[in-house]
Amino acid sequence: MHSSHQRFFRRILRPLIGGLLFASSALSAQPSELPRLPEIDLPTDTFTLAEPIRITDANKNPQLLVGMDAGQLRLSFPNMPGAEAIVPVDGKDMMVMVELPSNYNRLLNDFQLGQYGLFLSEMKETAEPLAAFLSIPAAQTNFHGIFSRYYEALALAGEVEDAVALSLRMPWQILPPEYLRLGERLVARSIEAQQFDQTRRLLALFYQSLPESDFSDMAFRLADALRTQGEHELAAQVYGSLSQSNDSVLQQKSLLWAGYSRAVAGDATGARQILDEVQALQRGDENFLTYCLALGRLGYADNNIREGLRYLSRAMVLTAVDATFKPELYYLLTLGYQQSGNIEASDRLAREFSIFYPENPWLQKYQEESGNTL
Amino acid sequence: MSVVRVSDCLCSLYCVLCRLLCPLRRVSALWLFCLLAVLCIWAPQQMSAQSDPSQLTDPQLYEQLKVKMDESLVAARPILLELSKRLADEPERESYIFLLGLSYQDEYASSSDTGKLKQAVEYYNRYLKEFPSGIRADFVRFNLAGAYTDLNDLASAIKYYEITYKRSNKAVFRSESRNRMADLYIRSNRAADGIPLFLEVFSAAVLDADLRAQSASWLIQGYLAAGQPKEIVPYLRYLTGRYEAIYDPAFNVTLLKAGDNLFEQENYDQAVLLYSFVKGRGEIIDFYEARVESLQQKVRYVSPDSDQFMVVDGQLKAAEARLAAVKEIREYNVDMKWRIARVYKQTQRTWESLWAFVHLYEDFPDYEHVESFLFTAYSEAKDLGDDVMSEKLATDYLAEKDFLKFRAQVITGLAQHYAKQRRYDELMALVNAYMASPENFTVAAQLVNIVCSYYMVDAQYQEVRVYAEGLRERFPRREPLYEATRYWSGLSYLLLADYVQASETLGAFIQDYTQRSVFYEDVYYRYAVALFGEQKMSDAEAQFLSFVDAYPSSGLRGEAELYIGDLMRSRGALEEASTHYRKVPDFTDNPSFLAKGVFALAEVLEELDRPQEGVDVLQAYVETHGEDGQISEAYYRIGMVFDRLGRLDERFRIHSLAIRELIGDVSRYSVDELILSYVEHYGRYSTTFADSLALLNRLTEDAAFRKEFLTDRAYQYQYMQSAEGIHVDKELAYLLVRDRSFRHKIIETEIQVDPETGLEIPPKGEPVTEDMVMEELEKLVDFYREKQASIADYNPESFFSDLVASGRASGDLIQQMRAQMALDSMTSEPTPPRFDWEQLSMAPPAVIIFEAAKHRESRPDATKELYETILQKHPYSNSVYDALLALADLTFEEAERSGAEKDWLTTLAYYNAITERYAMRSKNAKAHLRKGRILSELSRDAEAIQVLGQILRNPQWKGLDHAKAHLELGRAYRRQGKLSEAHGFFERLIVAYGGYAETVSWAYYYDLLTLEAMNETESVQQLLEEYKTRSKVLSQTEAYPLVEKKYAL
Repeated sequence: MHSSHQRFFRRILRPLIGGLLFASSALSAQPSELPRLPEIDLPTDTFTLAEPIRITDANKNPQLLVGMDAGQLRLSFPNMPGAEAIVPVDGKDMMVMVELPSNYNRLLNDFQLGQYGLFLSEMKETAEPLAAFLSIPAAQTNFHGIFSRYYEALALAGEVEDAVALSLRMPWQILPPEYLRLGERLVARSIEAQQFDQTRRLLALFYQSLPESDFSDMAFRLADALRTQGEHELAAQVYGSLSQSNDSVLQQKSLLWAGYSRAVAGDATGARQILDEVQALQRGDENFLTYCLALGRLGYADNNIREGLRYLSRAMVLTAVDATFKPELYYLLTLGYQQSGNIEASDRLAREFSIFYPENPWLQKYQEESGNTL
Repeated sequence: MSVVRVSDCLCSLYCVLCRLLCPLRRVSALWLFCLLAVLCIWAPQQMSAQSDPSQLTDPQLYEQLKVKMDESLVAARPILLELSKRLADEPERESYIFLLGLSYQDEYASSSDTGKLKQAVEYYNRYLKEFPSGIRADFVRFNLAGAYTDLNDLASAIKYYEITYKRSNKAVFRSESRNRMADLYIRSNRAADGIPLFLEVFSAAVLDADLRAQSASWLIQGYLAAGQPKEIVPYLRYLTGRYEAIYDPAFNVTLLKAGDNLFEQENYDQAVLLYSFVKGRGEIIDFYEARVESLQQKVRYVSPDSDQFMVVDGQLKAAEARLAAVKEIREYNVDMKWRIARVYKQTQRTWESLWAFVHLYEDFPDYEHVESFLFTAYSEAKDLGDDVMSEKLATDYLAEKDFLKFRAQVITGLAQHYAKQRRYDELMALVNAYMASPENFTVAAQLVNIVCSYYMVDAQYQEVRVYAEGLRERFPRREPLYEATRYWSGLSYLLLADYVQASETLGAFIQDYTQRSVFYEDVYYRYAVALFGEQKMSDAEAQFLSFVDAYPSSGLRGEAELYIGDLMRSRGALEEASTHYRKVPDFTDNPSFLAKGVFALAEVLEELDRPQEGVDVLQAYVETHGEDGQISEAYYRIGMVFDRLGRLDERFRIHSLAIRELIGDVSRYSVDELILSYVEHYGRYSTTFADSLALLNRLTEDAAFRKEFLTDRAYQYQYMQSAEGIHVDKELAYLLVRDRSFRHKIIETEIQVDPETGLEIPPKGEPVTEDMVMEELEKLVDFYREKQASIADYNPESFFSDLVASGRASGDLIQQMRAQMALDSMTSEPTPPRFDWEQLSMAPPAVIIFEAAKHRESRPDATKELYETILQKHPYSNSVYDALLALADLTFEEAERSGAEKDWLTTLAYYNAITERYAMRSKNAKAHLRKGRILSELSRDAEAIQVLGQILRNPQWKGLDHAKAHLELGRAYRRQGKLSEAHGFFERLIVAYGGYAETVSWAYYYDLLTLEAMNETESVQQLLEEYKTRSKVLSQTEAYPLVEKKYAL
C-alpha cells in the first residue's frame, strides 16, 4: 500500500499541488519549463513469478513462493497441489528461508575477498528472484543477506545493464541506507562508463521511489559527475525534476543548478530565464554558494568574464577543499583569471589545482584546453 | 596579526595535551591484563599470608601475594622481591621481575617520583637481559619505552618502541608502538628522523584511510621539519575527510607554523597550501565532540579484558583531553583567515582577496584590525574596478565614526568614483561635508581637483572658476589646498578665453611656487598659451621655448612644439617653424595635435615654395595614420595644393576619389567639408571659365566691343561689375585691365592722320595688327578651354547624382544623404526636405544642419530637436558649435519676441555653453555680446559687465566687437546707476571706434542721456554739436531719430 500510495503521490498529486502552489503564489514565480527525468514503471506489488522460489518455513517445511498479491506473499505447498495461501510479509511467526547453493560458503569467501565473478554467476539464479521480496523483514528471512551481497557484487563489478535491470525490480522506498549507497555507486559507474541511458533509468527510478531528501542528497553529487562528463542534458533533467519540489530551499537549489547547467551549455538567455526565478541571495542563505556558482557561470556564458570572476571567486573563498564542485571551481577560476589577463593569478591557481586534484578530470580538461601542463 | 601568536596558541594547547596525556603511558588496561595473567600462573600455588616474607614458606608466600595483589602492586612488592630471590636462576622468576618493574612504574604514576621510574627501568632491563624471549618481552619493551618517555630519554624510548613495532607478533603492540614512536619523533622535534618510519607506515596504509591520513600528516611534518616543503605535495590530498590525524592540534600547529615560515620566505603557493588545511578551532571542537561521543559508545561494547579495550580507552582519554584543551584556547580563526587573505593578495588573486577581506570584515566586526580588513577589501575592489563593491565598502567605512586611519584615501576614492559616474549631487554632498571643516588640507586639495575635473569633463569652465575661487577665498594660504585653487582658477580663465586674467593668475602662480608643485609643469605651459591668447607673441614664444627647455620630456611637449611653430610662422620664420612642426610627432600621440602639426607643416612648405614636399608630408600622414587619422582633411589639403598650383584636374580627381571612399562613414565629419568645398569650388571655376571664355569670345568676334572694352575705362568698369563680368577669372581680368604689356599686345594700333597734312602718322614702334591681337586672344581662349576641359569630368551634378543613385541601390543612407546635400547646395533655389525625422536622426551632423535650416521657419521646435540630436549623437564633431549657435540664435529670437524670463534663461544656457566650452574657438564676440544682452534683460547687470569685460580683454576681437562691448557696458553701468562709469564707456567708444557709425550713434544717444542725468548740461551741448557735425554719416543710423526727437537737432 505504501508504495502504491507513494507512486500515486509522486505521479499525480505532487505535480498538481506544485502547480496549485505556483499558480496561487505569485505570477512572477512561474516555474521554468525545465526538462525532467522520464517516468518509468515501478515494480508492482501484485505479480506471479515465472518460476516459483523454493523456500522453507519456520519448521523447515518446504513451500513455494509464487508471487505477491497487493504486497502480501503468495505461497503454495508441494504436498497440497492447487492450494495457495496469502500471508502478510511480516506475519507473526512467519519465516521464509531460501535454499542456499551447496558451495555457498566458498562463494561467500570469494565475495569477501572481492572476487565477484564466480559469486555473481553462481548466485544469480538464487539471488535475483529475491529482489521483489525485500519487503519481508530481515528477521523473518535469509533473503536480505543473500540478496544484499549479490547486489553489492553486481553494483560494484557486474554488467551495468544487468545491475540496472535488477535495480528496477527492487522496492527502493523501503530499503535500508546501505542499498542507497550501492545504488548511488551504480549510477556513478554508469556515468563513468558513459552508459547514460542506464543512468537516466536509475535516476528516474530513484526519483520516483525514494523520499525526496534521500534522492536530492545523491542527485546533486551525481549531477556534478554528469556535468564533469559533459552530460548537461541529463544533469538538467535531474535539476528540472528536483525543481518541482515543494521544499523551497531544494527547489531554489535545483533552479540554481539548472541555470548553471544551461549556462555551461552556452545558453546565456535560457540560464538567465531560469535564474531570474530565484531571488537574490545573501551570504548566510543556504544556497548562497550555488547561487554564486550559477551567476558566475552565467557571467562566463555572457562573455562577461569579470562578472563571472566576481561570483566564482566568492564561491572559491567560501568552499573547503573537499567540496564536490571545488575542482570545477578551480577550472573555471583559473581560466577566468587567464582570460582577464591576470596570468600570475591563473598560473598560481593552476599549480594549486594540480596539487590538490592531480587526477581530477577538470584538471585534465584545463590542461588540454590551456596547454598548461605545469 | 601575528601568526606567531596563533602558533603560540596552538603550541600551548599542545603542551597542555602532552601533560594530560602522560598518565596514559601507564597503560592501565595492559597492567590489568598482565596482572590477571600472572595471577593465573599463581593460582595452583596459593598459600596463607605471613607478615615477614623471608619467614614464610613458599605456599604462604603465594597466599600472601594474592592478598597483597588485591590491594596493589606496590603493596605486593616485598612478596615479589622475596619470590624473585628464592627463584633465582629459575624460569618462573620471569613473571616476578616483570611485576616488580610494573610495581615501580605504578608507584611513579601516583607519586611522580622519578626514582621509582628508574627502578622500573632497571627491572625491565633486567628482564630483557635474563629473558630476551620471555613471554612478556613485548610488553616489557613497550612499558620500558613508556618509562623512558617519562624520563625524557626519547631516543631510548624510540629504540624500544621500534623493536616492539618490528618484532612483536601482536598487532596491538605493533600499531601502538608505531603510533607512539611516530608521536615521539614529532614531539621531540625529530620529525625529520621519522621520515623513513612514516614512509613505511604510509606504504602499509593503502586500505586504511585513517592510517593513511595519519601517516600523511606525519610525513608532512617530517618533510617540513627537514626543510623540504615540496616533498609534502603528494600527501596533502590525503588531508581531507574526518580523520583524527587531520584534526590533531599538534599537526595543525605544524601546518600553521610551516605556513608562516613559507609566507615569510614569500613562498606563497606553498604557504596557502598549508593554510588551506589548517582546521579552525570550531571545526576541531566539533570533531572531538563527535569523536568522544563515538568512542564512549564504542568502549561500552569492548571487553575490558581485550587488547581492543586498551586502544579504544586510550583513544577516548586522548580525545577527551584534546577536546578540553582546545576549548581552553582562544579563537584563532580570524588570524588564520587573515593569513590566507594576505596570500591571495600577495599572489594577485585579487578577486579572492577581495572576498576574503570582505568576509573577515563581516565575520569579525569586533576584531582589533577590522578597520584594516575593510580598507583592504575596499582597495581590492577599487583595483578590480568593481565600482558597486568599492562604493559599498567605502560608504561602510565612512559610516564607522571610529575608522580614521584610511579615511582620507576612502573619501578621495569615493569622490573619484562619484565623479566618474557623473553623480554630481552625491559628489558635492561628500565633498561639501568634508570642506565644512577640513581636517587635512591635502585631502581637501585632492577633492578640489576631483570636483574641478568633474566640471572640466562637461566644459563647465565657469563653474571651475567660481568653485576654485570660492575655496581660495575661504582658505587663504592653506596649502596645498590654496595652490590647487589657484591652479584651477588660472586654468578656467584660460579656457574661458579670458587671457588677461589667465596670464595674470598663472604668472603669479609661477612666481609663488616652484617646480616641486604638481601643477607647475602644466602652469608653466598654460601661461605660455595665455600669453599667446593675449597676442603677446614674442613673450609667448619665449615662454614656450622656456617650457620645452625646462620639461623636454613633458607630455605637453608636442603641443608646445606646435605653438612654437605657429608663433615662428607668424613672424615669417618659416624654416624654423617647419623644424618645430616636424618635432610634434616625436612628443605626442594625440591624433589632433599630430594632424595639426602635419597640416601646418604642409602649409609652411607650400609657403616656402616647396609644394611637392607639402603633398609628400600629407601623403605620408595618410599612409601612416590611415583609418585613425583625419584623412579626409588630409585629402582635402592635398587637393588644394594642386588647386593652388592650377592643376585643377588633379585637385578634383583626388577629392572625388576621397569623397567616394569616405562618404559612407558617418563619423568622418570632414568629408562634409570636402563635399561642400567641392561643390562650391567647382561651381565657381565653372562659372569663371565660362564667363572668361564668353568675354574672350566677344573680344575676338566683336571688334567694336573689343575696342570699347579695352579703351573705355568706364565701360570696362561697368562690364566687370556686371553679372557678365563679375566672375571673370581674376588673372584674366588683370591681363585685360591692368597688365600694360599685355594690353599693348591686344589693342590694335590706330594709324593717326595728321590733321594738317592729312598724312598717316607712322606709329612709334611696331604697329599691332588685328591678326596679332587675334593671335594673343586665341592663346587665352585655348588656355581657358583647356582649363574648362580639365574639370569637365568632375561635374558635381553627375558625380553626386551617381552617388545618390548608387547609395540608394546599395542601401547606404549616409552616402545618399551627403550626396543629396551636395546636389541641393548647388542650387540657389529652396529645395524641399529630403529625409524624414527618423532618417535624420542617423544623419551626419552637417546633413542635419543643412536639412534643419529648411525647417527653421516652418517648424522651429522640430528644428531645435534636430540640432539637439547633433549635441547628443555627435558631441565631437565641428557641427556641435554650429548647432549650438543655431540653437542659441533660435531661442534668442524667441526670447526677444516673448520677453519672458524663462525664454531668456533658455537662450542663456546655450550661450553659456558656447562661451564656456568654445571660448577659444569663437571667431567673434557675438556670443559674448548676446550673453551680455541676455544678462541685462534678466537684470543681472553685474554678470553682464563681467562677460562684456571679457570681450575687451580679448585682443582678437578688437574692432566692432570691442565697440559693441563698450556700448553694452555703458548701458549696463547706466542701469546700475553708475553714471560716471557709463559715460566713460560711451566716451571711449565715440573717440576710439568712430568708424562704426551704427554703434557710435547709439553711444551718442546714451551718452547724452547719461550726461543729462548727471546734470552736465554743458557737456550735453558740446556732444550735440559734435553729433551734428557727423550727421551726414550718423543720420542713416537707427539711433538718429531718437536723438533728433529728444534734442531737436
